[in-house]
Amino acid sequence: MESRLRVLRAERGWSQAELGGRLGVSRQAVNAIETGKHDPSLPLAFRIARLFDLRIEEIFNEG
Amino acid sequence: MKDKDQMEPGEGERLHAQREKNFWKAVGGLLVVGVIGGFIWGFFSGFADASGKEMGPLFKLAGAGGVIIAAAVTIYFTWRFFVNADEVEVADNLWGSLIGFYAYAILLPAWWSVNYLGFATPPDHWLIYGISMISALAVYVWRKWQQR
Repeated sequence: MESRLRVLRAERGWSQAELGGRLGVSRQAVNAIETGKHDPSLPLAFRIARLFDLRIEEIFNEG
Repeated sequence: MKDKDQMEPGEGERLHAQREKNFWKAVGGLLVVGVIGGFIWGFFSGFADASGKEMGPLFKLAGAGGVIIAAAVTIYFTWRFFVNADEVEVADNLWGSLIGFYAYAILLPAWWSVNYLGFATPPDHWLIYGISMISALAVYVWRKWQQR
């Protein structure tokens, strides 16, 4: 799955660890989602969307 | 509690560091249990073997108590591990466990069948257990390597 997570994170000047801390996941998990190696669960996708004040489909697409 | 999107800059880093600390405390606890348990078990079994006598009831009781304590502490730290693990960590553990289980499920009946036909010695359960654990660990490490 493709995502705009890396871009959104960079826009806020956050490190992967900073985003991980805000989401309650590890830096490795953030990296895995950004590189498309892990598709987030629905609850995590909602947490990400809420954090960036966007809808899930504005962050993730099937690719 | 503060909402996660209302956090101060850098607070995520602090939370992440705390999370990592808790995670590694759980992993460290499991390692310590393994090392101490293995050392004590090795010492006492070596001592019993060297004396050449059968173990007394008190010795056996102490051994059983040690095994129960080690199992309980392992369960506690495993619980701590999963409390602090995120969904990627859980997925890595599940994939590792699945492949380890498949290795066991295939190896044991295959070896047993070959033995039944007279082409091999009876299955060595500890060897199959070891291969299953190594298979599970290899898959886990491979996934971690991919995510680094």
